[in-house]
Amino acid sequence: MKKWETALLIAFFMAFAILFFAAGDFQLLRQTKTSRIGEIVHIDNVSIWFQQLSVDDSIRYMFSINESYKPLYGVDYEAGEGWKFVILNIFIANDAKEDITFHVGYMEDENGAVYYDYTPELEATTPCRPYYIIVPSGDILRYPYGGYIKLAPDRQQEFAIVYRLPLNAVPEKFHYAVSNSKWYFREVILKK
Amino acid sequence: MKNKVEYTELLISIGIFGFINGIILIFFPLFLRLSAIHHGIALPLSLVTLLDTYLLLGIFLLLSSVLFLTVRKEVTYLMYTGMFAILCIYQTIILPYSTFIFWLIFGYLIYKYFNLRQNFGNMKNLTGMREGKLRVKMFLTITKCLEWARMPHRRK
Repeated sequence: MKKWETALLIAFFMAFAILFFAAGDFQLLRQTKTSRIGEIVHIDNVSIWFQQLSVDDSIRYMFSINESYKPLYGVDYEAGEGWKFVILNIFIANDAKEDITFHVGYMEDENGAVYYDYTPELEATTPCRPYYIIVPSGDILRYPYGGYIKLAPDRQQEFAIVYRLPLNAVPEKFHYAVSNSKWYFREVILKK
Repeated sequence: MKNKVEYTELLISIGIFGFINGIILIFFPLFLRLSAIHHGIALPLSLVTLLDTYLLLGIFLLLSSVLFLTVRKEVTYLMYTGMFAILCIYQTIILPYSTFIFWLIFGYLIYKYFNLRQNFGNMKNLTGMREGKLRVKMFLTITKCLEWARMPHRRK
């Protein structure tokens, strides 16, 4: 092999090794930062407040034609025997100069089991979607239909996410992501 | 006269196998990441890191397999063998049940390298001879041109 060929071979594998380990470091830069329920998290001029976690055996979903319309009608959903609804209330304020999107992640219980947000089944005949829910406190809150909430600059939103968990499951973590031009992956410790 | 080393059909198949693996390793993480974004699911960080390394491995494996199949030089052969070794290690860690076939292929690549090493050397000599011939041809052409320039009466 010529000298330049040997150099090329070494450079090829060095480039792979550097990028391979940099991929890990790059992930570290956006590593999950942990907060606790009740705390306010600040990400790029976006404030997220994980207000409270409540449990109920039924929840009312309010259906609407689209986001701008008022709720048309409500449907009660039961968690069912051996199940419960866990409701996480979140307040988000976008003080940044660009749109941000809050992506709903999954909930993890103390045994590491993963649960995705509960979406009621829609009737094929209705164009309505569940855009709001009535939480146990009685408040009508926005529901992140499609798994995300998008906020324009200087806007605020209070919303709630519902998870259906087995009765004996203890929620431990909630994972979420916030994106504008960058992605931020975070988690919230739900255990007190 | 051929200026590429003759690969056996099995070696070509191994090259294609690496190429296909490279494509899968690129598109599988991309598909998962894009689906997660589309559905608004925040993937666990450990999974995102794993997918990124898969993507990187896919890009390098694809590149090395293309060079292995087309350039057919010692350096590209070693590049591909090295990338295949990394793929084998990955398979052993992540999908241990399909590891044996990967290590078997890697063993064949190493075995064939020592067989082909001589041919790679011959190809180098062949290239050298060809370069030498070209130099002589160029020298003769330049000499003829100079000779022609020195004799103005021939231009008529």
